[in-house]
Amino acid sequence: MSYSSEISRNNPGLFIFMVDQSRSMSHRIGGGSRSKAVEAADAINRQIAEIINRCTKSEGVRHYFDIGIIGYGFKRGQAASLLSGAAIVPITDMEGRILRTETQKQVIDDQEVDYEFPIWFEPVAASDTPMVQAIQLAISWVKSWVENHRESFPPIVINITDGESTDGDPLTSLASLQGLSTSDGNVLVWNCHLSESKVHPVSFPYAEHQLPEDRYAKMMFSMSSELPEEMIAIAKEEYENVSQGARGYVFNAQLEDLIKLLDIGTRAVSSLMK
Amino acid sequence: MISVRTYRLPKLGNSDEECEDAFSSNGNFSRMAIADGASDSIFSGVWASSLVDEFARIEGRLYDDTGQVLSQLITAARNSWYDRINWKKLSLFVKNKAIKGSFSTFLGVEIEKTPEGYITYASAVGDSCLITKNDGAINSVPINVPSEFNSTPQLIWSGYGAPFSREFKWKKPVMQKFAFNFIEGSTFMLATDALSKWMLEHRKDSWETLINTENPGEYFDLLRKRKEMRNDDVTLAIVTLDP
Repeated sequence: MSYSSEISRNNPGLFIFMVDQSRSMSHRIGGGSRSKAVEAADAINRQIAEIINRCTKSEGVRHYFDIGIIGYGFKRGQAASLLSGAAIVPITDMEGRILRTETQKQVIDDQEVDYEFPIWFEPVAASDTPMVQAIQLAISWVKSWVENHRESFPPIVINITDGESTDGDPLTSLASLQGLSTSDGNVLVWNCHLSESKVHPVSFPYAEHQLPEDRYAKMMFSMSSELPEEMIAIAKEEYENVSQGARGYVFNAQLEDLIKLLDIGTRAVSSLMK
Repeated sequence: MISVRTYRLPKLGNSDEECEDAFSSNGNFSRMAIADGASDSIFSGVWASSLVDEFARIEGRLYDDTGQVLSQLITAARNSWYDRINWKKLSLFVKNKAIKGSFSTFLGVEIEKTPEGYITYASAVGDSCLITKNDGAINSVPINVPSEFNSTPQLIWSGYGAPFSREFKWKKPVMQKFAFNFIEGSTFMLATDALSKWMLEHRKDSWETLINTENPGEYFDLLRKRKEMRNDDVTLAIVTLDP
């Protein structure tokens, strides 16, 4: 059965986050008050912290995952790792790569608790959208990773973008990325589509007729992998209308949906951690 | 006189220090407890052993409790848990997780000698079980059906680690209580969830197998390697109520 490999220190998993840093990401998300760039940075910082939290035991962080972050569009035509001097890093190295921390208060059961919330990268909205180049970079990372991790759970690549590639059609490159595999299945590519239009968000659709009228929605939908069964079960806990064949695609997500999208992936994979 | 044989093993592939199960008793075995620290939280093994150690030490019967004994137990265990963690030396992520507190199942047993034999009182939170054998049939509390074991048992919470207050509002756990009359010479077992489940799945022969196996530790390893038992920490206490 695919997508069932145990995640262990011998067979870690891989998450790659790809984040669009083009100028249009400075625009406010439809129906929201913050820019798409701020929403994306906040969601990824939070989710990396959550993955680390799940790998943390009393003695420290265990190497259950590797992490890569690709930014694209921070300069014209450029895509690169946002972790300085490194591509894919073990999750155990992420503490040493924190840029700064923010103290956040959480009130649970009438008790206020202080958390030091880590920030690995700041929101950027600068230039064009070289999505093809970003995917090519992800392909080169994933290719070498899967060669060395044949028995691992397949890599999960999560792309957060407003959809408009400026360096060509990303579909062919995306198909190449999705064609890479471990013995446990093909690479999973999820897309989080941030839009300025005020239409209702769509989460985990299974067919094109569920998509809103948007120039890029169909393309982004077709670029997204089907959810494995275990992830469908978890997605159903958050969204009532998730069916078999649902794709890892969220349109017009605000932070809450974005976090849910990322969390469904990490929760499903975390249940395989041993 | 009460005699007890105990076995405690970590998950296959883990070290003894990584085992989050705990057992403790007082000197004459009239009080004893097992606990299974939840792997979703950290320092759960410290919390589990704080609970069983304090239970073995406290006065007052938890079975008859109207709230005071439980409060005394959880408060003492919480202080012990907090004091056993070196908070100042924790890395950022370990601290962020540790301050959310630790969770554990708990099964406390109080044994009273009577002219007719023994009365055993059990107070249980979660899926650590007390297993008995009567007329050839084994029965278990609080769970007696293998399919009822799941990944979300009831747990006792340590409370938050920061800010730490010795006087804290603890959450009352869902505690189930049971009493058994035993004649002299009877035996019962205490077991954490994976072993309890295996015993209930093999009702015909699991009791005798455990009583007669010279080295249960090796046997548990074999069962876990064969995937007949879930790869989990395992604790077993075989309690004999001698004349």
